[in-house]
Amino acid sequence: MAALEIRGLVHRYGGVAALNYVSLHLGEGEIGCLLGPSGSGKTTVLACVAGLENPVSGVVRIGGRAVCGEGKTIPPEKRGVGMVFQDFALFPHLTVRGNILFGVGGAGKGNGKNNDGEKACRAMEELCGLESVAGSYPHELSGGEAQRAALARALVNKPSLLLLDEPFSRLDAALREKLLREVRGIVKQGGVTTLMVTHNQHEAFMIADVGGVINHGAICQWDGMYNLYHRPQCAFVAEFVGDGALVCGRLTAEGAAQTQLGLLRGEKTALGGGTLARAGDAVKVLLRPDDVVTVAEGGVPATVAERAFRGPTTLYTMRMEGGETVFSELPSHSDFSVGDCVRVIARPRHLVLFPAVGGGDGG
Amino acid sequence: MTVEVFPPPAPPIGDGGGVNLFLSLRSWGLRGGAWGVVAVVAAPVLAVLAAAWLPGSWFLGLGDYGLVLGGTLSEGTLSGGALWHYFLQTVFYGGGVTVLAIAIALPAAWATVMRAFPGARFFSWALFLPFALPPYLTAYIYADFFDSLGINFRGMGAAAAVTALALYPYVYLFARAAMRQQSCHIQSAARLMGHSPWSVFWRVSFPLARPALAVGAALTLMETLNDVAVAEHYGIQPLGIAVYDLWLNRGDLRSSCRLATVTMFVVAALAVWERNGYRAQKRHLLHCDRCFSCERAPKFGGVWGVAAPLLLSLPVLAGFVFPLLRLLFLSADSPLRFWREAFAGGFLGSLALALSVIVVSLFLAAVFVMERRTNGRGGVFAGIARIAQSGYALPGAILAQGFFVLAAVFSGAGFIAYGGMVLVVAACCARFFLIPSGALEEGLDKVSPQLDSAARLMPPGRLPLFFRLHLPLMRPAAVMAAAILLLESFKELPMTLILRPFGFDTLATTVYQYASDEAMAAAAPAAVLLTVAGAFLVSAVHLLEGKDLRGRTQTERMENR
Repeated sequence: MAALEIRGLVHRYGGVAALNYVSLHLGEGEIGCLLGPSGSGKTTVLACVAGLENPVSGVVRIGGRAVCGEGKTIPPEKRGVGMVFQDFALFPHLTVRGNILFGVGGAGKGNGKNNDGEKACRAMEELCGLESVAGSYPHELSGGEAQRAALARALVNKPSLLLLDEPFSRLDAALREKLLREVRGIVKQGGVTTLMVTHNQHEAFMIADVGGVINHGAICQWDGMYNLYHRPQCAFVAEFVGDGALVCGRLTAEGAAQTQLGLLRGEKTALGGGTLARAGDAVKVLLRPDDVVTVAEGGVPATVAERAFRGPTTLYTMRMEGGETVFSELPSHSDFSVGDCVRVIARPRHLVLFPAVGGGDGG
Repeated sequence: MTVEVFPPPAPPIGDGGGVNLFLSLRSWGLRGGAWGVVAVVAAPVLAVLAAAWLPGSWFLGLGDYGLVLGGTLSEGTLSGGALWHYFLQTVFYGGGVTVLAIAIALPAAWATVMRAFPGARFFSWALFLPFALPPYLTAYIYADFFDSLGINFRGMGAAAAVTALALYPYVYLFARAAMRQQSCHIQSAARLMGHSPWSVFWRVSFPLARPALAVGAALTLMETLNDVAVAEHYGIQPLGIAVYDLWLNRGDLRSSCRLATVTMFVVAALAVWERNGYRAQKRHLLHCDRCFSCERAPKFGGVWGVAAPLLLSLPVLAGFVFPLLRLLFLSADSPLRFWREAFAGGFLGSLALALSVIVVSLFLAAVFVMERRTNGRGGVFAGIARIAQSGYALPGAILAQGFFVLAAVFSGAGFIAYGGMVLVVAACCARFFLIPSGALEEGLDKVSPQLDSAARLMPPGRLPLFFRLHLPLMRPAAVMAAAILLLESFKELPMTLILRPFGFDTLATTVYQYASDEAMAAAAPAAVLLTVAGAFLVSAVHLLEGKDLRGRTQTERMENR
């Protein structure tokens, strides 16, 4: 039985389609992540699961119980869902402890009468490392503390499902990595099924077991994180998850692709887009930055169009004759300048192909 | 192997030194202007204190009128019992008005911000309309109406009820702003933690709006202290009227000034309370994304969908529609000469006063705000700024009294007779100074100081930074301030009444003269003009505010990108 099951969710904001038959499922204790650009509808999915929005149609089941759809709409306070908001939404007039106690038993007043609630609150403070700031007000907290306070507040009621709405977007990069590990630890320790949405793929990679990419209110692929990166099923996923360039080519009979970079073949070939293709069809070939390297001889000529120094590596954008570009991530000691002429070859391990839209001539 | 040796860091380059004479002159000009503003507010207060507590003989050497003044100051009839009476009356009147105003405004603010129902947008505007009528006008209309039915509608309860009807928009304004600032996520978070909508209101929305309610309540109380006409007409004696009555009806300036000192203590306490409210509210204002779902309030369900608009229309009907209809009915019978008098005397007089106040106070405010922006806001100047902006808290009668004493001491009676217009404008500027300075400051605050730096790094234009950057940026705020100043000047009563030169009338004084004599039919034409102008200005302010909010949400969205 899935801990969270969403089937055929449709939602509109005043006639504008926000969700278009969204379906996904999470197993008990799994952390799932919806990745998508802003305006893709990812937060709407969370709002529908939490009961803050009522979808036009579709079913949401939490722990097997339908909370919306099938003629039922359960109000948010009865769904047993915890949520961490993008702006944390801590109650500014309550201390951290007051915030955590707010939802305990529906009426935790912090006066010691609600002993179980107090105990749960203390345990949660300890788990989230909030003991020293329990008496502080939200405006006195650092970003990381506010983050953990919001998480503690969401978890104290032992929700059957935890929702995270871009909870790391307000934090700076260094803190983000640390907190991502902490949050994953806390959530995994409690075994809480979690659904997070973000536009940041690195967050998704670090925290999630499974995930999907959502675009224009529809989920393009719901899969493991490895597969999202290495076996994208559509061009949007390929381009959204990780850096990558799509190069025009033509499918050969043995499952390789003839491109400007020569005949490309991998150990395996995958064809995304859900359509069949025959030899000779125009395709797009996904080339990740680590697939493309420079060579002293052979390969094809290209000029360095852009460079981005990343410390141990440098990400180059190489422009080939005819204007097609590829990315190449090289150790930063091989230092090229913009405008340098180099020779590049592509060596993808797995060949990922998509049908070229509009049947282009394949370059 | 070669080892590269990096050179040591270069020593810091010293400050060029030297002072730009022009810049320092300009800065001193600004500073002088700011001090001038402070003097305009502080001088009348000091004058009242002097007249209350210095021996009368001190004033004897100060010209002809000083002699007269010194003579009147020798007596003093205020007893402890009377003071206690005035104080209790103030507590009952102010307390009653505040409680009633909150009872109207809080549910109204919550409903129009947090819930969707038919006419929600209409009501968010219409609920401000009673603000078009000054409290004394609402009071006169209801007293006259009940008199015509043969019911005696006077006394403490009646006074508190009609005043609340005219003043609740203060509380509504702040409560509404506080509710609008609450992120919808806060509500959602509380719902998800197992609380019903009702419980969310009492445990989250209301506590978060409480500082704003305190600010609104403090302003309401200050207005009740400012009032003279309602108290006079309804036969109650809070401090505001007592100051006026002792001085102008019983000729006891000494006691009046002493009572004013007591009143100022009450006002100071209110001001501290209000400031705490502001501060608490700022703390409560965590960053909020007005996200899409924030803008979509949930619908009122069931009976409330019908009941809410009906209930919300009550204060609008009682505070605006009925008084206006009653005035129109009364003025239908008014002879033409009252209309002529209302327009030629009252309306044009009000307009002349309002325009003078706008021009003078906006100029002073611009100087003041620029001083604050360029010379920083810490240290001594922060305290000075607070004094300069606190004139609104002083009851009009006390300000008038202070200016009267000043004028008497420094220029003699002739000035009071002929130069009174200057005094009226000065008193209005002192009392309303927070409106233009606050608006301009807020207008400039929305603009990051980095913009100043950015503009300075660009090639210099022919005009100074003020004209190229600050003036255009302040324009919407200045328009807003002008509209509010216009409204306040039209409604202003005690100061205009006391300080105006002979033969000068405003709509407010015309209404007062007739209505306080129970001649409502004669007062009606001026009252209609006042109400219509007020309604127009209230709507204009509401419209400008909406525009401003839209602009702000847009920049917030841009920040989120």
